[in-house]
Amino acid sequence: MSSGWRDPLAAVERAYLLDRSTSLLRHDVRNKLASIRNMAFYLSKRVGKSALASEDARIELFLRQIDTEVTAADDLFEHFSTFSRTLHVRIKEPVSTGAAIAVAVDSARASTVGVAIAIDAEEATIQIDASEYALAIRCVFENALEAVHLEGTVEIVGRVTPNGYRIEVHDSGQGIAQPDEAFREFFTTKAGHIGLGLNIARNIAKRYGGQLQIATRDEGALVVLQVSP
Amino acid sequence: MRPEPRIIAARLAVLLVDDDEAYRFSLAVLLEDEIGVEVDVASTYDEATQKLEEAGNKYALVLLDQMLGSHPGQTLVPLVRERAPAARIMVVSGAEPSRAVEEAVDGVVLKTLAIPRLLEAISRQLEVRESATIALQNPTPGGPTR
Repeated sequence: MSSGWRDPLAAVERAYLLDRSTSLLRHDVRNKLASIRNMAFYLSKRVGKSALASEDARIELFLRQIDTEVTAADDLFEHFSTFSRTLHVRIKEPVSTGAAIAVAVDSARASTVGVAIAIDAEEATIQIDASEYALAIRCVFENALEAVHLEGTVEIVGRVTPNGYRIEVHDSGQGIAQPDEAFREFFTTKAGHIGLGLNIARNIAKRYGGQLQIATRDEGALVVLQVSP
Repeated sequence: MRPEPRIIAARLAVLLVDDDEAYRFSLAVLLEDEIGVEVDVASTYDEATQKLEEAGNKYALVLLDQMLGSHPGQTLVPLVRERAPAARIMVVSGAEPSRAVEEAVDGVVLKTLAIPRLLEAISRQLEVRESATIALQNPTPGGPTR
């Protein structure tokens, strides 16, 4: 839908993608490093008592060095992940819900050709990081646009709730067959996608005391983004 | 020098739930060799559920990976409490867990910890479990009876 050169949410989205991918990579690499340490410890215990170790002092030295190097590699990862978390500075400020929805819809990158879009959003002002909130809405909106495959309807309904604001995005697509899987990072059924959109939206909702819920209706899907900042 | 992890006298059983094969295998070997426990392993949420439902009561300790595929490891906590009420639950994690996770389990240990300290932390959980069992078997004289 965006016709301009600049994507107003590009920076916050990049920061999120880097943070999530670093975090997942750190988890996987950490498991590998921890396995190496476990095995080095085992070998050190076994070989350390053998004749081989007394014949060649470098064996024990190298086994100890494996542990030291693994610890150093883990520290490097930790520093990098700390850095990636600081790329987006959050500013909680009064944000118009209507403006956030407008930014999200205007900057969406999925095609709207053949899609009837209806917006019925109650106006409110909430304390939240404007870019993060608009990004969360855009992720849900893009997911709906992609679900209708250039033919159908997407309806956005926004309402004030006792403790925040709720946005419901209805689409007339096929529905979400595996709602649990939709939140699995890097899981997608769509070619050319990386499968992080709804996950990003859920993380942002949780950051602001809310949640993201998915339901399949008789026709299409319903995704509800609730924030309670 | 840090003391060696104590070999637990009785052969207690531990359920180790972790989706990383190499980590699961290497930690199981260390637990068996260094602490002397019997280790059952599960690599998925479903496999862990099955083991707990079949023989939850045998476990003195359940070690849960914090990120277990699409399920956070702590989602198994209610089932462990139900099927293995006497078992201690410890999260073995690659990253600092949230406060909610810390409060839901009996202990947390980071995978980045030096191995002797990691084994020591796990031994301590087993010792707590053993003390609780002994106290139950030998209630204080004059204490409440059922």
